[in-house]
This record gives sequence, C-alpha cells and structure tokens, in this order.
Amino acid sequence: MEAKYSISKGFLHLFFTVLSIAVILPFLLVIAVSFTDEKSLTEHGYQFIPSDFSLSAYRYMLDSPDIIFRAYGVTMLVTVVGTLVSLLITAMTAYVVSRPDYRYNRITTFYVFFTMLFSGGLVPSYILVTQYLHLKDSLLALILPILLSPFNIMVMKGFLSKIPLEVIESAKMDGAKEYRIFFRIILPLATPALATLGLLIAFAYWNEWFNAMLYIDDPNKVPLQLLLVRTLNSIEFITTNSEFAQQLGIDLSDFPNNSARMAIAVLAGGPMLVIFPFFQRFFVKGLTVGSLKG
Amino acid sequence: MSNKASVALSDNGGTSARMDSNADSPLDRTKPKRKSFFRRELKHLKSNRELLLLSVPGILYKLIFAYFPMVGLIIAFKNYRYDLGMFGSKWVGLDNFRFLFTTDTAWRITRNTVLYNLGYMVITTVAALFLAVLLNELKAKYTRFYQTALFLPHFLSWVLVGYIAYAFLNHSDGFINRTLIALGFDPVSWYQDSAPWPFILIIVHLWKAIGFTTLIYFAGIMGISGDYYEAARIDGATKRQMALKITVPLLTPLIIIMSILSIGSMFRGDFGLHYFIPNNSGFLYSSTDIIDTYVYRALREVGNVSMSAAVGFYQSVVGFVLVLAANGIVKKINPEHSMW
Amino acid sequence: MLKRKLGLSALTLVTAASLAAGCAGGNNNGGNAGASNGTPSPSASAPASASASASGSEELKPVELTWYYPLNQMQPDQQKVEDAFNKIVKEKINATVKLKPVAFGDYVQKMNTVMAASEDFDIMWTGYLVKPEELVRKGALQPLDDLLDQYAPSLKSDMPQYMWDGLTVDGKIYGIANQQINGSRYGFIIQKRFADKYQLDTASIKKLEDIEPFLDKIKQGEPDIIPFNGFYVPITHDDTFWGVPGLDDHFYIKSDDPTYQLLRYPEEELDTYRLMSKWYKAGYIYKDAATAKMNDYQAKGQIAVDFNNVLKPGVEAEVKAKNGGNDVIVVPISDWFTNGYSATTNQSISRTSKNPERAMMLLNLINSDPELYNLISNGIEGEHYTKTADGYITPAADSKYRPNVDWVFGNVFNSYLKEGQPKDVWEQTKKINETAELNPVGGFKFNSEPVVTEIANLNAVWGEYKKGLTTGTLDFDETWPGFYKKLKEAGEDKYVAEVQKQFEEYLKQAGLK
Repeated sequence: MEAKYSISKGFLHLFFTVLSIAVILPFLLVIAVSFTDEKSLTEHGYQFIPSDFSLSAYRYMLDSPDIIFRAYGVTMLVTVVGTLVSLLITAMTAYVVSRPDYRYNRITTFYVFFTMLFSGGLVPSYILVTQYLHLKDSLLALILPILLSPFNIMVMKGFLSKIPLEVIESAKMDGAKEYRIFFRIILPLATPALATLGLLIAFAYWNEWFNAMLYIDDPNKVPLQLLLVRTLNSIEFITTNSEFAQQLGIDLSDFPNNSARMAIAVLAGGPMLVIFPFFQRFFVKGLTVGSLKG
Repeated sequence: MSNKASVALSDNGGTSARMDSNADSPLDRTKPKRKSFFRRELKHLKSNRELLLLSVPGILYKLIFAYFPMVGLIIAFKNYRYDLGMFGSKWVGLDNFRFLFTTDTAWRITRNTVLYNLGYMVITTVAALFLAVLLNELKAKYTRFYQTALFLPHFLSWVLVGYIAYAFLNHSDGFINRTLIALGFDPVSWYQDSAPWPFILIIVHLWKAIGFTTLIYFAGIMGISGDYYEAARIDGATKRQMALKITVPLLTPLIIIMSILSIGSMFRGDFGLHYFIPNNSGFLYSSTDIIDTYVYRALREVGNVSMSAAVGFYQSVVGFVLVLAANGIVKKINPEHSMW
Repeated sequence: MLKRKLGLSALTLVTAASLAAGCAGGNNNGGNAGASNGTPSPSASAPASASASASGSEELKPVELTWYYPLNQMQPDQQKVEDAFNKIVKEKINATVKLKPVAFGDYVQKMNTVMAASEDFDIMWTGYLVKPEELVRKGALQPLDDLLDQYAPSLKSDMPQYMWDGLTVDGKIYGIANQQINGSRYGFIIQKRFADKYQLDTASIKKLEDIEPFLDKIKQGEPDIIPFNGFYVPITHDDTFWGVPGLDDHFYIKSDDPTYQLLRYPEEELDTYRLMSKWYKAGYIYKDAATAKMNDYQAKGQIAVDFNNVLKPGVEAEVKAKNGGNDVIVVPISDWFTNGYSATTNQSISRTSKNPERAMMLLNLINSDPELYNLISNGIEGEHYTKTADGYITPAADSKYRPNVDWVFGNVFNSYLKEGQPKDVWEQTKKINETAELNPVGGFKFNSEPVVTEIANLNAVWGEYKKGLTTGTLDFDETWPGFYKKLKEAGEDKYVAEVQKQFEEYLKQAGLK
C-alpha cells in the first residue's frame, strides 16, 4: 500500500512538473527577451537563452525611476484598498444570497446577475464617474468602478452555500444577530473562499488599466499596468495604421524596443508572484466544517 | 384592532396562527386579502431585515454603478450625436443593428463565436476539474508551487502573448517550424492556413485560463468535508471512485454556477485571443473571426458609437435569453442548484 | 469576468467608443446652446463671458485652457515643460494651459468618450481616425471662422486657401492645420548599396513596372535580400488618373475627362494588384509578406526596394535608421501633387469650450511664436537639446523630453532644424505645398451617414483580403470574383450609388459640370 502510494504520488508530481514547465515556457521567453540585447534580437529573433545578455531594457525603464515607483505606489494602494473593500462587500452580498431561508434571495441574485449581462456601456459610466461623482483624476475612479463584480458574488455564493444552515441556526438560537453571525462565524469559516476570491480580486485591481486610461490624466496617478498597455497599444496602432505613420514620420524607433516591452511586462506582472503565496496560506482544507462537528 | 396589529408585526413568526384564528371576525372579512398581504410582507421584511441590511451596500453599489448607467442602452437605437447626447439624439429603430446581419459573414462570425465559447467552456471545465482533483492529492506546499505556475499566464496581456505566439508560429524562424525542420518535416505556414487554428486557439485559451478556473474548483474542493472521504476509504473506495462519486457531485453547484456565467457570455468573444494570436491575418478569418473582431474591423475607421452600442445590446440580449433558458432547465432538474 | 475584462481591452482599440451619454443634455450643454438644433454652437454665446477681450488686448481675465493631444510616449519631464510653457503663455495671453497628452493607442477611444460625454475642454488635436469632418457631423466641434478673423488673422492668410478648404464643412472652418508637407509623391526608396551594385538607371524608372528588371537582378544576385516590400500605399494619382479623396481609395476620375465621370475599381487599379501577384510568384515579394512582421526585416536592412508616397525633402535621413542604417536613395515616379488637404493633422476647438477666444489666441501663439512652439515640440533648450548657431538642434542623450511629434502641435515650418535636414527644408516644403498639382476634385466631402452600415461591412471585407492582395500572396484574378461578390453582399452597390449622387451634386456646386 505504501509503495503504491508513493509511485502514484511520484507520477502526479512528474505530471505537474511537466505541465508547469509547459505553462511557464512563454513566460520564461518573455523574461529571456527582456534580458537580451536588442541588436541580437533583430539578428536572431526571440531566443530562450539570450545570445547577448543585456540589462539595457531594464536600465531604460529604471532610468526614470520615479515614474515606475509612483506607478507601483498607485497600484499597490489601489490594490490593497480595493481588495479589502471589495472582498468585504462581495462577501456580505454573496452571503445574503447564499442563505436559502432569505426571502429576497432569488430576486437579489437576479438583480445582481442581470448587471453582468446588460451594461449601459462606456459613455454613461464615464458620465457617471466624471460628472456626477466628480472622480476624474482621482484614485477612487480606479477603485470604485470594478468594486463589485457579479461573477465574484456568484462564485462566492457558491462557496458560502456549503456552510450548513445548522451552524447559523444554532447561533441564532443563542441570540446572535445576523451581522454578528456574519463577522464572527461565517467569515472565519469561509477563509479558503475569501482567500481565493481575494486573490482574484487583487489580480483584477493589479491588472486594471482601462479605467486609468479613461479617467486619469495626472501622470502621478498612473498605475503600473497602464504604463505597459499604453505602450503596446500605441505600437499596435502605429503598425496597423502604417500609411498614417509613414506620412507623419512616426516610426517604431520612438518606442521602447522589443526587449524593453518585455521588461515592462516583467516589472508589471512580477510582483504578483509575491502576492500569491501570501494568499495561499489560507487555502487550508477542512478547517471549515470539521471544526464545527465538535 | 391594534392588538392584532402589534401581534402581526412581531418578528417571531409564530403569530400566523393567531392571525388566522381572527379571520372569522366580521371586520376582517370585508377586506382580508390586501391587509394580510401587506402585513405578511412587512412581517417578512422585519424578519429578514438584518440580512437585507447586510446586502444594502452591494445593492446600492449596483444601483449607482450598473443600473443608473444602464439607461445608455437606448443608444443602440439612436443615431448618437455628441451635442444632442443620449436623450436628444434621434431614434432610428433597428438601423444600427443592420450591419451585423446583412452579409454572409454574419453567419460565420456567429457560428465561430458560439462554437469557440462552447469549446472553451467544456474543455476548460473538464481540464480544471481534473487538475483540481489531482492537486487535492498533493500536500499543500507542493500545490502552492504548481498553482502559482499554472496561474502565471493570466498576467500576460494578449498583445504580449501575440508576440510570443509569433515567435513560435513564424513561418521562417518560429520555434515550431524550426523543430519541424530539424525533425525532417516540412514547415507549416501557420498564419496562412486556417485549418489548425481552432486547436491552436483552444490550446492557447486553455493555457491562459486554466490557472484561474482550477483555483476556483480547488477552493471548492477544500470546502468538502474530509469525513466523506474517510467514510469512503473505510468502505474501500479507490481514489478514482472517490473523485467521481464524491468530489464531482459535491462540486456540482459550483460547476453549474460557472457554466451559467459562461453561457451568459456566449455571444461575447475573447477579442484579445482572436485578434492578437492569429496576428490579425485575413487568411485565417474563416476560422478565427468572431463577432468582436469583425466589429472591430468594421467600425475601426467609422467611429460610430451607436453601432457598437447595438452590438453590445445584441450580445447581451442573446446571453440573457440563453441564461434564462439554462437556469430554467437546471431548475427543472434540481431547484436547489439553480441561480434563482 | 475574464472575458469581459479582455473584451473591454478590445473595446479600447475599437475606435467606436461604445455606448453613450447619459444625461449629457442637462449638464454641460446648457451654456453653449448646442442641444437645441443639432448644429455646433456658434461662438455667439461665449463672448458674453469674455467681452473684455473683444479688442484682443489689455484686460484679459486669467483663464485655464485644457488641451488634449496624442503622443508616442509619455515624457518624464512633461511637467517641467508645461511649467515653462505656461510661463510664456501667461505672460502673453494671461492663460494657463493644462496639457493633456494621451498615448496614440488610446487617443481615439479616450477622445470619443470625452466628447460623447460632452465634457468641458478647449482644444484637441484632430486628424487621422479622429477626422474633424466626422466630429462636426456628430456635433463635437465649433466653427472657427469668426475666431480666426478676430484673433488670428495672420494665421489665416499664412496658409494656402486649399488647406482651409480641406477643413471646411458646410461652409465653415473647423480646424487649424498644422502645416507640414502636404504634397505627395510616389516613388521608390531603394537601398543605395544595391542601386550602385547593379547600376540602377534611376532616370529610366517612370512607372511601377519599370523597376521589375532591377527586382529580378536582386533576386538573382542577393539570396538573403527581399527585393520588394509590397504595395501598401495605393496609387491615387498618376498621369492619367486622380483618386477621389475622402472615400476608400477606389474611386477615380480620369485626369483629362471633362465630364469627371466617376470610376470604380478601374482596370488600371486592378492591374496593379495583378502586377503584385506576378511579382509574388516571381519571388520578388517575400513569401510571408502578408503575415510576417516586415518591419523586422527592414530593420535588418533586408529590404531592397520600398514603395512609398511621402518622399519629402530629408526623407533619406529619416528612413536610414529604419533600414538598418543603410543609406537609401529616392526614385520618384510622379511629380508632387496634392488632394487638397485631407485634414491629416490639425487643432480644433471643442463645442464645449468655455473660452474659445482664448483658445484661438493660444493656437495663434503656437503657430507664430517659434520659441513657444519649439518648447513644446523639443523641450527646454540646454536641458533637452542643444542648438547650434545656424539653427540645428541635437537632442541630449537620454533626454527626458523628446516627443518627436512636431506635427501634432502646430506649424512645423517653425521648428528648429534636425540632423539630416537640408538647411532650406522648410522653404523647399512650402514651395512643394504651393506648387503641387492640385486634384481638381479635391474639395469633395462625402457625408457617410446614409451608408454607415455599408461602409462598416465593406471595411470588414477589405480587411480580410487587403494584405493578401497588396502583397500578391492571393492571386488576383483567382480571388477577385469571390472577393467582389462579398463586396456586393456588403452593400457595394448602395455605397457606390450614394457616392455617385453626392459627387454629382458636388460637381454642380463647384461649377465643374
């Protein structure tokens, strides 16, 4: 029995290792290119092992470090605040609709879910944010518009509905009010769910650039991902509209070159690797229901 | 009267018996239904008020940020002018929708969008479940590493992935062709041959989405009590049986939610995937063109707010109908698992 | 959720900024009376607030202006330059300008959203993909005629009339062109080393076909070099034809035809595609040209001949770096011509501007004060560049302000000379602009509203075939029947009929018929 166990475990590890490598491969390529000398890129194209190692792409990026530092600051602030608030409200809303004994369960679920299907679109949202809420050039414009995602609420609802009703009923029997139950009992029980969604929400905030593109003009409030996407979009624009570019003498040498683009991607995405383990600590199994039985 | 009123409004829920017993009194018989409906509703409101309060921030948020701007849906039916705004612009009925339906291409892009979305949904779900179950077998410290690895693709934007894909699929010196030549095969002109692209796109999509979906299912598995597995093990069940008979069935509500959410976006394609990975090559359109890429091409030089609003509306309506249908079906089978 | 997020990133690229305004009618239009009858509000409503400046001098109240324009890259020293800029502007017209640069890739989406929301701002760059004409039809800009006469009379007279015509819609002017090279000239840009090696007789090249023997020599003699880059720029003028501007580059008239009969896909145009098919089969065009990133090959200096339509003075120096540092020569096959002015790069004033007079004063300043213009185009002298006595500038190494888009800000004739430009480059350019052969139907403006659906679908169809046909990868004669059928389905006939109708009206109005 023991031997069989470790062989199959061994296979599992092998399988996952191979899978992980295959999945990481393109990412490795990005990193490799970011460390390659531009000239050798032109000569040999993308290579997994740079024929000419060079830090010039990073030097270019870190040449104006204040831009990068500020962008990191903005992104971190927005991510932390956004994730905390979003997680809380998402959990609250999801919990309420996960309770089968809640009378307005179905209609609230529908109310929330409907907004996932239908959207007024860009311009009414823009008007709302800039003219009614006066959030143009404010960090709140980066936090609020994506605060509550119907997808997250529904998934969280799925997780929370696993919590047996008896737990709640017994707490009620002891005279606890709903919000106390929520904060004292539900949240601790739902730690894996919170951690999972917290992670996803954090990523969403970290990667957010579209709202920044629309609402932020102040260069001091530009988040990290916008720096990258802005550059890539502009390069894409110039390449697709080459007649225009030609007429006006725009050409790609004005832009960060290939290795610099990859460097930006690494700088923008890299820190997420740090965040991941932080959340993974909470992916603990069985803490939830098991502890109740006693 | 006032006694009955105060009794009816108390939130213990045990007053209904008392209320019914008073129905015989002559005063109640004159207008019984309306009064007790309101009373009942108020009673329910009271007993649910704490939960309601908990949900108020969410409801308020959606009201402001989603429902309030939803009035913009009417743009799809107007000829939008910047100076007339939403309410001043002229109604044009379904004119803005025409361009989506008048060509043969309309069929092609719709077919592609739907087939791809179905493919993505099914394949990603199956793969993610498979991986989540397997991951569950390993100790936490290993799963962390694998999960992180699987999640990495999520961070690369499609533009960037497009560059990587080009490095692989480039006819003259892409990695794949170089390998093929080294192995003695002929190189393939990837960007001009549309046949392999459904596979390519599905693989690339899977690569990018697998971490995300696996994570969700993995979290779901963690919510399953270990007792079930213990009991099964004692009964001599194999790992495979445990996976199929315990894990998957208990994950069903989650799977259903995820599936219905995907169905809602059935007519919305992944623009980045279908535009950047095929490098926007016209030769591949028959198998890579979806509604979103077509619209981009059509409206890029036209800059028409109303028409793109129409596209969004069309995609929303179809998604809505499909979700209603899907939810309805689930309800018939097992009302507990339906979304509402 | 993921899909929606990626879908959103898609919409970014979609110029048609999706759905639109909410209660825009109520909030910002009130003051400008733009909502009532749909025509952009005349500046009549505004002078009430700035009547003091009617005389253009003395007591000017301080105002803040907002100016949106596109850039390749955001510049680290943007704030510094803005401060220096405002120092001058405040002194001269008592205004502070909020400069709002936007990256190219985002400009269309962002500006369309800003305008659709009727947000207050003063000046914006208009041009390719944000054409002033379209914006006028959507009610986003204000007419500049009165403002020009009052606040920028010299600016008005400085530009040739046909440029103003190019910015006129329904009789009113809606933009100020940033003067630069306005003529086009077709020709080849050929790497000097090959021209020399194979003794290319440049005088004998008069037509597209004439370069064929040279291409053949390259193919035979240079296995690593791609002879021809592909035909990306449509020929819209030669001795026999004029293209009709403002449409899709497939409408022509014959130069010597007094009836100005409108031709659609004339055989001569189709012949060019046939030629490309022939060249592709002969191996003169790279076999993957339709799908590969040709820029990479060009950067390595692997492209021998490039076909181009902007062979302006000084282009050799500009293009050298793009060709991997190899010298190039220019072989024109047409004379300078112009379609009138196709509103490539201009500044326009928004309908929602609260200070249009001051905005006009600023634009006048930018176009007439070289110090100010070069400040915003090149940065601060001494810090971002050094200037020699005869007006040549060299950018500082690692300069923190180097937008390199002079043509965004104003009249490029005012800019300091850059390395590689002949000393009299602006005189030469001006002369070209003035003497270029003018397209007789250059003033035609097409109102696309009745056929937006058809245009959208036609664009989509062309998008599918364009690369294949212009590189000859798709054999023209084989592909054309099926392709044309798709075009017909997309609404070709309706589109052509509408163009015909409007063209006839134009001819009558312009007195050409």
